[in-house]
Amino acid sequence: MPDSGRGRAWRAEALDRLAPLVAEVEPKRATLGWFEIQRLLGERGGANAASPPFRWSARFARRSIGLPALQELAAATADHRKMTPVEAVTLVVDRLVGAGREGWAERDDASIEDWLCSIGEGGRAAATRDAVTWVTACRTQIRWPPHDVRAARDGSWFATIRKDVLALRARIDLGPAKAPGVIEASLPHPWTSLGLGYLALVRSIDVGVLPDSVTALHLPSGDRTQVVPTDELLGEVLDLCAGAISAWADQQQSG
Amino acid sequence: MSATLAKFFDDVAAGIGLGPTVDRATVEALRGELTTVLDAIGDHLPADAPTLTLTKGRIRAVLACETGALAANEVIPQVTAPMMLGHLVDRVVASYVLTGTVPTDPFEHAVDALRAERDERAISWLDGADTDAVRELRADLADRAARVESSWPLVSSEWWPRLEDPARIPFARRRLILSGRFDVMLGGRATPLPLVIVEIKAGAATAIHQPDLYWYALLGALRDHVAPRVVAVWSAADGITTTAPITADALHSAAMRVVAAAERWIEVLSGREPKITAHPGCRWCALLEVCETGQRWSPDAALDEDWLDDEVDTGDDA
Repeated sequence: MPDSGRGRAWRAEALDRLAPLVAEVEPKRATLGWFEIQRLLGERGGANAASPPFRWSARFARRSIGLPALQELAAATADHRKMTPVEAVTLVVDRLVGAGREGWAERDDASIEDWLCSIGEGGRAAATRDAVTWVTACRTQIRWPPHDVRAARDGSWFATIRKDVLALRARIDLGPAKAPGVIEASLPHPWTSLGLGYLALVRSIDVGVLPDSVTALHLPSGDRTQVVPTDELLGEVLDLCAGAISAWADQQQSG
Repeated sequence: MSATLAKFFDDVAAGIGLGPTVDRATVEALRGELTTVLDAIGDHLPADAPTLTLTKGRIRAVLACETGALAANEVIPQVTAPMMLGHLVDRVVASYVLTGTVPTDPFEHAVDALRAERDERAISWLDGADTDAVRELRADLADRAARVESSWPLVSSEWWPRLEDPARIPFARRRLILSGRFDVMLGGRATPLPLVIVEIKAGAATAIHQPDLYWYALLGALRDHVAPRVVAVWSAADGITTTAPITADALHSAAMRVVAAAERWIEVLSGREPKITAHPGCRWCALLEVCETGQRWSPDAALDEDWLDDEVDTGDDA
């Protein structure tokens, strides 16, 4: 569906609806992603459920290791070099370990480099194993070579709702921005389409342009979910965002 | 067919002992038929029942004894020493496949892997185990690790090994899910080598595991739209590899078994009186003390059979 100014129109509508919800919130610079929005709406563990501090695990690290490994594989293909997923992942893990600090695995602010540096050979073997499986699944399920793999922070989109108070955050794994893709470790779910619509809404608030389509690749089943950001979908997502941001603003104001 | 693992890899690379290529159209047709049937069956799942996740353990259990399967379904399986050994062996094999070496201290290596996975059930079992149990586990793992070193050939990265590879196939609007995890998947798309699945057993593999091999083939075919050419099970207890070449008939047979299990699960979950059937697994059943059928079946001789899996079947994966 061509944008034809729809992105700008949705940008204006979203800001008109969302910015007043945080007008009374003290400046604090927070960001909300789709996960937090679902949690605020009670879809994940209840609206007031305390989330435990994030800790890296072999499972969580798959994407952070896997995306740069996919970049290495794509570069090798472009250069006509032979490279296997095991070799690409090993290269990335070695690089990350070299930049890490030992003994930091259980700290709240541990980076993936710190975590990998702190978990011993057996731990790194588990992280490598899971990343290799993830990379190989991606490699065999996406059109090869991909031209735009978004590793590290390259895939983050931010949409400012009110400067110094709140931004919405989304991330993509594969470009281009016109038809982005995300890689999911879960099965298709009724919320999957809404999550993809959320990506489109964040993009329109950020730059005033809507993607033509957004696709999720579900690795465990090999299924794909593709959505076109219709006005109906964007309207539904905007309603959800408004509900979540209201709840968030109430939490901030009640201390 | 039984062989050494080195011979298995040589044979597969040379195209020996493989099933005929099952073409994509056959796989798609099977997927279509299975979808029609399981969607219809899944619609009969009671509205208030949770999603029915069929793992190899749940399929095997309900086909063996509906009453025992229901009883097992209501408890979270306890971690046991044999299950823990299976966990640890899987991690040593994974490390070997990726690096070509067996860790110097297999136990510490595998435990570090479990910690990195944040497998809290396994870690808390290990933390709570007494010294003798840990010593025995270390010894058993050292024995299995030595067998990995003597049995496994170097697995070239050209095989594109995938380890602990999950597959979850939804039916009936996600009310019914087929779920499993491949210990080792090799070759296939993007490589010039045949698609192969290898399952690892810390204990001995027996004929009881044969249907599981076809289950894995079916699950792989449903997810990847390509059927594996052969599925093998390697036993760390004796180093023996048992193989099952995969044909279209084998996939159909596995699909029929899944359908039979799904029907039974949904009937008993819908309130039908579950049947009681004696089978070799009775001796492990939670209801054995109150089940006359199970007590009558269990001759002492059966205690030597290897029935129970050494894997933890939590309902998420098998």
